Amino acid sequence: MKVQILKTHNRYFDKVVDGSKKFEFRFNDRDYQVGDPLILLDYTPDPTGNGNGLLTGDMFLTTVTYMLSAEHEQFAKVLNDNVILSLSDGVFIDRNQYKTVYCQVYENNFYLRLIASLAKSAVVYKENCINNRANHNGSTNKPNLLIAINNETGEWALLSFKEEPCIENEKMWEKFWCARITQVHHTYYNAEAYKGDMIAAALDK
Amino acid sequence: MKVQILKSEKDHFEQVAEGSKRFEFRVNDRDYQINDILVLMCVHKGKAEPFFNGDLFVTSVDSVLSADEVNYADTLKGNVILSLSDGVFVDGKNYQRFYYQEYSDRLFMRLVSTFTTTAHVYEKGLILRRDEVATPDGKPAKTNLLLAVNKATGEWAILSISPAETSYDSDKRFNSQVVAVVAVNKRLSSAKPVIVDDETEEMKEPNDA
Repeated sequence: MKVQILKTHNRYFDKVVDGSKKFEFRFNDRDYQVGDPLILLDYTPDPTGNGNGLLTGDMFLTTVTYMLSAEHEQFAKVLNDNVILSLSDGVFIDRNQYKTVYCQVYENNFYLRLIASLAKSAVVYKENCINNRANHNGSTNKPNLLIAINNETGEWALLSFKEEPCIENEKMWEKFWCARITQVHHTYYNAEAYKGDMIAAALDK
Repeated sequence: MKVQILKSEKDHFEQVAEGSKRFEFRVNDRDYQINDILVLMCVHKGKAEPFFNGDLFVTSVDSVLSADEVNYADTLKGNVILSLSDGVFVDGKNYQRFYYQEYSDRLFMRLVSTFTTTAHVYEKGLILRRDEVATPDGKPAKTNLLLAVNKATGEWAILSISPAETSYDSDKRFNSQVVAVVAVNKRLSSAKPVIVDDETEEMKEPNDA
């Protein structure tokens, strides 16, 4: 399981958000797997074709539920090094509704405690910031968002949090926040992940 | 808007039916368009099971990615990727015949709201017949299914209709009694309104009207 952060051209991004496009057709340079969480970033290319283009700040959070690649023999010749990823239902993150977005991976036990709100705070490394809109007008009043990922199941949740420095580790302040969770917006449950030994393993701990 | 009847290998069919595969990757030999209705027929290549067991999955095309798109001319070359809407699984054991028929917007609405319980079905609309196949309890399935399509919007519904008439009338059609509405697909978000004149039954784009 790996979190894949992908730029997505504006004209396709909109279709993914409104649900009319439930797949991604991509060059397979990242070893995509079923169960990978995807963070799609809305991207507008530079009109002149020379610049770097623009990330609008809109995002879409989803998961790979199925993958078609050259490993399926009958498609080897037509797909070459490309893959088609099927997308689960996802969540749209509006650029006007947040100040910052972080993505942090947690262990199964801690992830479950987070979304059950048993754990009120979580460590969020500042280097895991995907987008910071602190310089945009009006964004200071908006929440910080945390995309929490379960490292065993690939499940994810979208949370709001307040930034607080870590008191116990003063020297580490500059590296991470002790995020105080204020709201759980959305969780993605992956039934597939719980087939087999998963539940037994969780109970053993 | 067309109805496309496609064979789908069992492995892929099951992934589509359970909802984890939400696309079809196909050779573009049929001019697929948004809102086309797909009837996927589950086929099995091994000898242990029958080649065709009657299982169907009915869905709509929400969007099409083809070599016409900028940047995809080389990679997609003659192939398309179709994005599938939420669909309906039809168990092959539970029907005898499967019909397809287009109706005007008005009649379609009446049919799915069951104000109208009788509808004309034409002989040429018979897509599949499984008269000879017995259900596990040894009796042939009695139900006939009708895929009713709204000509104006591309919406569709699967209706359970009365047992087949043994003969069609001179217009090669029979009157079917609607017994139940099995499933209705959601209103298509991208459906373009097409104005249908009920008297002439000619399709007009809104701009021409």
